[in-house]
Parts: sequence; structure tokens; C-alpha cells
Amino acid sequence: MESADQPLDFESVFHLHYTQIARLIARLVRDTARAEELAVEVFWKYWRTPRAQGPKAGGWLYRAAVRTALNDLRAETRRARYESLADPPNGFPTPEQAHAAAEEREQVRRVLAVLDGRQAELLLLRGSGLSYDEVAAALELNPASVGTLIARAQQAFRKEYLKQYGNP
Amino acid sequence: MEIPDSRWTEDRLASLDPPASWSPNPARALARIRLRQRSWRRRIAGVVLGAVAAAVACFVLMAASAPQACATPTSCAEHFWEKVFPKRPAAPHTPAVWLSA
Repeated sequence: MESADQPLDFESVFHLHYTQIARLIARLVRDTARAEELAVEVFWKYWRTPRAQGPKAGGWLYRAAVRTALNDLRAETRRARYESLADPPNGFPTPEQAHAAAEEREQVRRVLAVLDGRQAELLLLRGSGLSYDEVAAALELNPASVGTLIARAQQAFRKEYLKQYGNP
Repeated sequence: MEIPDSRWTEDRLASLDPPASWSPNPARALARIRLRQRSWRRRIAGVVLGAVAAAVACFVLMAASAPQACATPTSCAEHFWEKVFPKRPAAPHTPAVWLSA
């Protein structure tokens, strides 16, 4: 993730990772404005955590981002369950196709929210285009076992999805 | 033939991609972080200044309460040291006969 081994100053780290971090969070958070808010929160935590500011800053940021997004998603899922607002927002009329896509997105998010935290993190980081080595660095895992862990996570995701929604 | 788990999961996760028309605004985010950094630094400076002011106030009050002891800086320092860390009274002498009994 970092090209050099020496730590960069805050602004360089910010410019290097902000867009990727915001896009990663936006995959789980429905609202893009909220995703940017959470991304700012991640960088704010980073600024206040001196031990995160080193050559492994990228890994720390990805880990913090995926955990922040998952926490937000779980909180939202709980809220929706209690308030019976689990259906996607219907404030704007959408064509049938867009509605189906939104529904699938919601289903994927709900499955990720109930999946084991580590498995959801693996799937999201891998799905965001990170290599096995980068995923291992971000989650502080042995690079040799990342492939197996991702395969198990994919299996668990599929099983849970089919349990909740059947075959798409 | 059944689709492998990896492909199947990737297909589902692809639905999470944010809209192509959206791109995050780093300038606005950085401005928000800078604002929070400034307010955080002001708060820290306030806490440090408050602590220094409280320490100075304590010193002045202690000096005012014992003007004679504070006639010279050395005696003043000794006086405060004894106030903060009072000397313990010496342990009573135990006769050796009691110990051997």
C-alpha cells in the first residue's frame, strides 16, 4: 500500500488513501454523504492514534474503515429491524431494474451484517480490489492463510445468503 | 455446473459498488479534519493552561499562608516539601528482650 517503508506525513497519507477509503465505506453505507462522514471519522482517529502512523498506515486505515462501515451497517440494520424500515427507501421513483438492484444491494448488506466480523472484513477488502498481501497486512494475518480464509468467508457468505433469500 | 463460491460471492458483492457518477471530495473532507484538528489543539492548550494556572494558584496560596517560611526561596521550598511529604515519626524502639521472648 505504501511505496516506501518510511512513514509519510498526515496529508500525504490522506491524499494517498482518502478516495479508496471513502469508496470502501460507501460499499456498505447506503448514503454517500454518510460514507464521506465516516471516512473523515477514520482519518480523524488515525490522526489521534500515533502508533498507527508508520509504514503500515495503509493497513491500519483499511482495517479501521471496514470496521467503522460494518459497525454503522449493523447499527442501521438493528434500527431498521426495530422500526420496521428494512425496505429500501422509496422516496424517489425508480425503474424496475434499479429497484431490483437496490434490493439485491440491501440483501448483500444484510448478509454481511450478520456474517462473522472477520469474514465480512475479508470479503469487503478483497472485493475492494486489495491483493492477498494487502488484505493480510490490513487485517494482520499470515499472508499464507489469506487465500483459505477468503475461500471460507465466501462459502459462509453464500450459505447465509441462500439461507435468507434462497437462490437469486 | 455449479458456479464456484468465489465467483458467486464476487457477483453479489459487485452490487455494492458505489454509483459511477459519485466521487468523494477530498478537499472538503480535509477541510473538516483541519477544523477538528484546530479545535482539538485549542482544547488541549486550554487544558494545559488551566493546569498551569491551577498549579501557580496553589503555589501562591501556599506562599501566602506561610509568609515567614517563605522569607527565602530555599526555606520556602523546604516548607512546602515537608507539607507535601511530612516526615514519618520514628518507629518506637523495641527492646531486644521482647524479640528473643
